[in-house]
Amino acid sequence: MSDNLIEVKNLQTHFFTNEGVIKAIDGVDFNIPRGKTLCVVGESGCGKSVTARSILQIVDPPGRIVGGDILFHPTPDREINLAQLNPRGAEIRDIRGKDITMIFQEPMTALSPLYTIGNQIIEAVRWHLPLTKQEARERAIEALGVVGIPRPHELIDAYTFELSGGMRQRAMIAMALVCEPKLLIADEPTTALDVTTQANILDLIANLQRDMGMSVMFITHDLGVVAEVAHEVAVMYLGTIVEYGPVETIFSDPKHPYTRALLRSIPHLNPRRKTRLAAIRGMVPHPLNRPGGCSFHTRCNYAVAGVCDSFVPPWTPIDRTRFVRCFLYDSEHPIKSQVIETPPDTSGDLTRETAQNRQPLLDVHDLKMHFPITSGFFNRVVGHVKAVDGVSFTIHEGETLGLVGESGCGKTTLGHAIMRLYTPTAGEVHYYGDKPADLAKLNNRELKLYHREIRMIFQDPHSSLNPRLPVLEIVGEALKVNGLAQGRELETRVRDLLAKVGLRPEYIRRYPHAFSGGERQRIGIARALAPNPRLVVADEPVSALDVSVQAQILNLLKDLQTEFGLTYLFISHDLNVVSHISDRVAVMYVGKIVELAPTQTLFERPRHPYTEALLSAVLKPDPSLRRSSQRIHLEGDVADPANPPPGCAFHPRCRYAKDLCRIETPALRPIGDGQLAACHFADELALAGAHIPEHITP
Amino acid sequence: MAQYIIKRFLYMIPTVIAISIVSFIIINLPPGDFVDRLVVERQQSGEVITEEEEEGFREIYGLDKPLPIQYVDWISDVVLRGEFGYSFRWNRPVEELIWQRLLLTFFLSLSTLAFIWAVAIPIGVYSAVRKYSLGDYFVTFLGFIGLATPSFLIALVLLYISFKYFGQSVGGLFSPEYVDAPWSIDKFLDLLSHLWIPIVILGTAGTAGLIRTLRANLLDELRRPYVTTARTKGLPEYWLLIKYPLRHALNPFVSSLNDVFVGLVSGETIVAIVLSLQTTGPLLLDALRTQDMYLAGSFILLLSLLAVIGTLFSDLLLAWLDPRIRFP
Amino acid sequence: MTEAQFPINTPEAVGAIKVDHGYVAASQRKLIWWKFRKHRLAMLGGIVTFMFYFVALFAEFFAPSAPDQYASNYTYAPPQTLHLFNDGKFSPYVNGYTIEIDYNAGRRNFVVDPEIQHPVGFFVKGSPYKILGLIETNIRLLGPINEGDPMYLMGADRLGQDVLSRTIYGSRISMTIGLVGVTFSLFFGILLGGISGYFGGWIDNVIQRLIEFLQSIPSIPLWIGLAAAIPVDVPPLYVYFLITVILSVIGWTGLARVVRGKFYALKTEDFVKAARLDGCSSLRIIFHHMVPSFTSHIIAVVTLAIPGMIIAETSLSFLGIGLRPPINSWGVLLQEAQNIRSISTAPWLLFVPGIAVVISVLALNFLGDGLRDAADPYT
Repeated sequence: MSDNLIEVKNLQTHFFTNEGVIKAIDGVDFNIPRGKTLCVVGESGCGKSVTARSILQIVDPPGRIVGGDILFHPTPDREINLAQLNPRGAEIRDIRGKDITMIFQEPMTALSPLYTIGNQIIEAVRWHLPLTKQEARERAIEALGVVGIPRPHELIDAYTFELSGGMRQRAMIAMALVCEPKLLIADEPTTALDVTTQANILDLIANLQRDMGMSVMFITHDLGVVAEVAHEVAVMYLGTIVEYGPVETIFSDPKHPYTRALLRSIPHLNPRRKTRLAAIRGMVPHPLNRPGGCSFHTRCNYAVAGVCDSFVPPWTPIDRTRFVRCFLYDSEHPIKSQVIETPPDTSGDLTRETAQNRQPLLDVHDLKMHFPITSGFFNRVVGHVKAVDGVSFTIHEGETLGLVGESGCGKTTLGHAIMRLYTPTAGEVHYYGDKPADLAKLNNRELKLYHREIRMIFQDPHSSLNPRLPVLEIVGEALKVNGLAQGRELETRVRDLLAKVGLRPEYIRRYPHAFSGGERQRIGIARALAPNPRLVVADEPVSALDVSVQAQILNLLKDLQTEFGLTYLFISHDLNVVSHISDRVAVMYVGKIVELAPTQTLFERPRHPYTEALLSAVLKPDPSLRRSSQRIHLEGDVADPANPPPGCAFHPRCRYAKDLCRIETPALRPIGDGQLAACHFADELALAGAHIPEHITP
Repeated sequence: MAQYIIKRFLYMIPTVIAISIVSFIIINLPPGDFVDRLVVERQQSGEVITEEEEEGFREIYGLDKPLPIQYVDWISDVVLRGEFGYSFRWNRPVEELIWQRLLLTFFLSLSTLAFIWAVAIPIGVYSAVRKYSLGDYFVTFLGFIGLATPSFLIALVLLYISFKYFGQSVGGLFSPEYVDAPWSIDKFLDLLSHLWIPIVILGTAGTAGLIRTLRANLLDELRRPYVTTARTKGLPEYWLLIKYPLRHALNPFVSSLNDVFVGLVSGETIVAIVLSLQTTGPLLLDALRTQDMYLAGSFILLLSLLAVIGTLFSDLLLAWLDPRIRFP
Repeated sequence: MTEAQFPINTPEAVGAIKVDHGYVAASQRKLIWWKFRKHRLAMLGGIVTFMFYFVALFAEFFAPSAPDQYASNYTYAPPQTLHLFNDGKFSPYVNGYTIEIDYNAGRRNFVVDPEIQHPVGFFVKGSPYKILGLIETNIRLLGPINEGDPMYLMGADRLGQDVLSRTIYGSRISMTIGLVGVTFSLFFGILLGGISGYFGGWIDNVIQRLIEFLQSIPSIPLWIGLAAAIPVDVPPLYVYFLITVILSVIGWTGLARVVRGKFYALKTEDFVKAARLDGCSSLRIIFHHMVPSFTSHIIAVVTLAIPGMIIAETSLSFLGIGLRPPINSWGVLLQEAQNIRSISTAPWLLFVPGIAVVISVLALNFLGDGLRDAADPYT
């Protein structure tokens, strides 16, 4: 008899590689209660996915389960040990797809583009249930309807590439649910989606879970998602679970130092206090270099020499529902930690004077960036993608302007156009440096001078560093080609720059492959700073990084801003990050800025319905706020910038839309307090802001 | 789909025109024309041809006109009347000489293609699924040898072996009694019994190449997330292997179909010469050596056309197989 | 991506593992070399390829006799075995021949006669030559000690010429025609592929159509057509040159595609954008930032293109429309093995140059494969 659908006991999954045995999962214990959601949370490389795959016995070679039990109870009195089944045998295959199903992060690659979604769903049905083709098809259509796919009768015959990202993930979910499984394993199912779509999918999974009474194992790196969907939480670090318990207590009273640190390192949606983030030092080591003893001791503030680095902490119960793997709570030999928890560093309160009092540094006026769509042998132009379509804003000296929007809204193109990586179709980009100029009109030679003062940080720390060049040449290139430094002097300056961004100066001769993602991003920042710029365009600089590293980089950017008086244009899709770093925020939708305001104003009193919807979709890392505000569901997809709807581009998804919105395009206009909004009814609508807690718990 | 087919056909037109021009240029590359050659030949046999007579010949054969006009004359006869010109060497219209040989070439290439697929697919799949097994190493090794050996060398070795150990020649497509016989069931069966040797010789390199390509593609595809998805659905390994990775791996396979086919048409030329097959190869070589321009030009034109049609066919097949191409 | 693609191969993962081996300080070139070195077949291929070119370069030293040295009294003499020891002493010799008259066929047959011993030696004096065309000498690696003694380790041909020597000399032409042809191809490939990839637009479109067109023509008929147009009285050097040009007509297209593809892929890489923002000129971006990223790929593709050229030359010459005597190449040698009669009387005419072709092509393929894998040291 068991209340748990799954009980995992001392699970070990190892990868036998040429370099050595990687203990991806090394002694994991957890339960998945019947009809509840378990969230497994941790940074990349901690073994979350491998745990999930071990349950279904689909770990790719050279990995395999080497020990432990996975007890599966299809009914309370039956027990099957999944860990002991033959991975290719009929028994496990009967369970896969029927009792336990799985969905993945990227439905575009997880579904085959060569078959219709219907084909791939019906296949699963027919394999497990004694249904005819027609019955199976009807069942598939029903499932597609349940997951909210419009016109399921037609779309069952669609191919994956004909659907949007959100629809694809819905189809994937339909495929997983069609046989009414007892357990759904969801491996980062919303990570690749925009916030608004993510909110819809999370709600869908939660509703289905409740209605169908199934269990869900939800894998994510995002604590906001955890707070939103979990009943139970397992926190993973380097192949072990360090803490396990009900979601409320994990968030309100985290025990393990790693859980505490994680919770404190995420930027909260809190535009009022500009505190430094409490970053975890260092990075997750590679599993081959797993530190001995407690694997977290190298990054832990509580670690006690001679204990934590020598012995593996036992799996200690705190109470009936909670377990932790840390010597602090060991019932037999609890350690007395010398380090008291360092209070959050609030010394550098970075909220500064309002932007209005400062000099404008960059003035963008009616900027347009259209890309021709060509077709046929002669490259006939058949249309234009209006990626940026009439954008105007000003950045003041020393401020950070955040630019947010969902993917495809044109924010990256805007950044590139300002940098003149593209030649704008129309508009002006006035830069008020030592020699004011309209950057949009300059030729390449004239731009060279300005490219010293305006620099860029790229999103992908891997593709932005040339793998063939050593750090010295990467960071020093701008100094060298502009004749600012040479030889010894160049080397000294690059060493200084490395020290500034927190890297050891002796790394100067190393090549990019020797660095981790976070370190590479630091190199990218050093490169941007090399010629002493005034303005830095940062294009999603932290979105490719883990939470703990993200906090380090955000802190670094803030410190550098203070030290050098930099001005930032900070592009991001993550409202939490933007609210943390920006003085003012601009919201983009289909090539246009729809709202621009000081951060606090924008988050507390949004004046555009799109901003309101975005804010409502942001997940707060606090389970007590779950569904406290009724979330706004945006219907449909982001409009196609090649063929935007007439009038206000947002009107098809706007719940306040009136006739005027379908005809007339609203202009971005001031509505007081330095706030601008592009909505006909900005003055009339009473829109809800983000719920900002007075006190953040951990 | 219909739109795609039409578009594909339209794309073919400039290629075909370009091919006809190239064929014509090749014909006219060698210095001197047929009449010059004729004069030399007649002189050797003691005849004397006056310049007037020479001009007369040129006029008859249309060789006195400027090249572009010669080209237009030639191509319009080809297109409108199916007349490819006159073979001076054989004293017969070209079309009488080429069709049967072209048909045999086509048949041989197509059979070889079928052979390549029939052999390469199962071996490639085996090789990928049992990666680094003894069988895989063996196949890989054979594949390398197959790729490294020019087909005419294989043909020669086979000739040597059959002569040395079986005391017979393996050349030709027909037994002597059928060479000039009209087409009949017996002749066709005789053809089939001879055909396997050139097929194996011609197909070796292609098979080796295709096994390697399929193995590499399949290894890539086996790692794709949709394979894992299929596995989570509880499908058995053999089923999901065929339905997903193999099916995906076949797409680049189909798109390389054309290259393989062109390679076969091309390789056939030289193997046919070694094995003295009654296909296009030997006649083409002979025509080029003797500057029998209309015959040579027609061969190059038609062989290239064959290749273009092969491309068309493989593109259409790919569009039929891959919805991503079918949907614009 | 999900974590199941475990970060085994990601740079930081490898970096973490190999800290002790100087991995972190290694340049990309070193990484490529390390990866290549692990590929045993490729190493073997590289060594064999090097040996072939080395022998080709010093053909006069390695070949027992000059290629045109003939002896009509040893027509179609079969291969002799090289005996290194005589009565337990190191004293290399070969057996001589006796003549048997085949009255049925009406010809003389040479048979190796174990009774006759011709002493041979290493570093013997032979016909004079110049090393690399500079230093005059007459030392050859191996040869008969008494001048005029027959030594046909791989048999003789119709004119009594030593097949081994001819094959060694022939490697000069056959191995270099690949190199020269690839150089031509590379020039056109990089030029047109680079133009296509850098400018894009209609130029790209036109070049792409041209490539598609050239690739759609069956290559051997095209080559035959072009080669047949070379007049018979053209000097040998020109023929060599023209044949390489003809081979390159098709050869450049594949390279152009690779170059274009790389240009396109790199153009959108962030580090190229970063270089532009650093103020680099177009030339510096191309040659300092882009080209080094794909030279290793190009080298691999080029290496893989050479064997195709070798096979093509051999095929054309074999048909009698490529190189012709007195030029000496493997294809020219194989011409003599064209009919079944000569193959059956003297199979070494087929097998000696044939095996040379197969081994060199095999070695180059292995080498190219290894280079291609190593070109991207992170995967």
